[in-house]
Amino acid sequence: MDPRAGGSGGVTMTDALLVRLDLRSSVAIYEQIANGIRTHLVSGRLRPGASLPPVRDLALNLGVHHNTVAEAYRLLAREGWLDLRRKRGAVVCDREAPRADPASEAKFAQGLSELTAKALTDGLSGTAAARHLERLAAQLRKD
Amino acid sequence: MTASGFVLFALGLEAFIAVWALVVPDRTRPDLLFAVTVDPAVRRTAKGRAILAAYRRGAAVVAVVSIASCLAGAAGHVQTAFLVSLVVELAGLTTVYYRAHRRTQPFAAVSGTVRESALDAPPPRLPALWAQLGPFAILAAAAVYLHAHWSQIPVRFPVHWTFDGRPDRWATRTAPGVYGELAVAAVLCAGLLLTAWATAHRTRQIHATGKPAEAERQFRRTVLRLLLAAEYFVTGTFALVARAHVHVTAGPPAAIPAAALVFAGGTAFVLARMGQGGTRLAGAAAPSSDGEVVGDRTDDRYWRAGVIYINRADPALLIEKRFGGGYTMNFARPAAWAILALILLGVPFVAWLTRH
Repeated sequence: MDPRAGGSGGVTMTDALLVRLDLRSSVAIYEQIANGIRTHLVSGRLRPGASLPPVRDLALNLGVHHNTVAEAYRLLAREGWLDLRRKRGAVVCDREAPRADPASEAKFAQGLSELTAKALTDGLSGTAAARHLERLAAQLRKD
Repeated sequence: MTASGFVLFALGLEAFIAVWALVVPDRTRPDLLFAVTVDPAVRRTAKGRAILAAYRRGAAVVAVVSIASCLAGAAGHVQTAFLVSLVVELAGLTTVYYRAHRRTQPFAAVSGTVRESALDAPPPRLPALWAQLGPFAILAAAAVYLHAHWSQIPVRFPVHWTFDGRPDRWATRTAPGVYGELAVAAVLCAGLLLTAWATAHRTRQIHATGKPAEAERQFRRTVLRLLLAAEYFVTGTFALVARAHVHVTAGPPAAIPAAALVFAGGTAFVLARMGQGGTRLAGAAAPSSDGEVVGDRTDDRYWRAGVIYINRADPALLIEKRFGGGYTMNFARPAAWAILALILLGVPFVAWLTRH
């Protein structure tokens, strides 16, 4: 998935630890921010103990209200990724992955199908979509 | 400073303003032309060049007229001639800018809607604490000096001088009279320090990665250093004036106005050389990776005449100026109005304090 295409926001394919959001996207901004950070968490580029920028700093750079960023952090905290403490800010936790149930796998498969269909509707070629999915799959196998 | 010295100062100031007005269009972000978000290529089109040429012609005419009127009036009341010509210059340049702004608007591009931020960006840092405390130490040293020489201070002593060096305002040897100006300097320094803090912590990083991001950080560091230098300049000047309370016959150095002009010129030169947001530094003007017109990541509709920014949805207090160097305020933030009120009330307060 290339979030630059205006999908669910998130991260770029560069080496930098970036969070990107698209104001035109139908995905809520706090979700775009959470998606972006979650991608870095899943990939292991944000390791346990790492601190995230203060809510106000990230909100300032993204040009959004600080409550929006705080909501994204709270969402990730509920998922067990972040520890939110006063004065310490948002710190990445050593999270144990919960056991996946069949429903969540089905939800993932459906979401992936819908996202691919939307990308093809927007003009992405089947070959390009497959290339992105294969790259993602290769990375998942490696991890 | 003699009358001829004052004329030189006045001409220098007007020439400085004129040069700044002429170079500014080339020092803004490449995708901002007269405060309108445009494709960088617009500058190179025939119409873009025509707008720029018309602006430069207009600014040059305004500069020549104002400098000539200052020179013509110098034979009479020098200070009135200077003030009138300065008003003519500022009003003329504002008109010329606004015309160019209006002519550029048809070429406005849609601002990019993508925002990005680096999670691992280094936090902005203010200059070292000892450097920030320096100006206040200078003021404290000046206060100690005045206290130690209290008996040498005349009962009535000058606190303000005309440009030809004649005192035209006096204070009496009381604590407010002797230390008042140092207190004013301390307030000015605190204001500059607050500005530096807001520059470091309440401005947006427009680019998140690569050379443009590094150039922005370098620009911000330079602005912080210039603000610190301004603190030292202010405190140094006030300390010299305080010293003149003891050495009444000598008075403060006559070169202070010229030094102020040199300082302002140096500051403008540094900012112009870097370009707004550091965009003139090597590699800093790289185009957006996704072909979007980035501008300053603010929408044109939130700018009034390209100079006043009002956006309730933007948490930033300070925003890069679209036409000029440095930052302006987001007037949707209550803090911006509080700061403006402090400045507007502070000027009459300083005037009142020096008169009493």
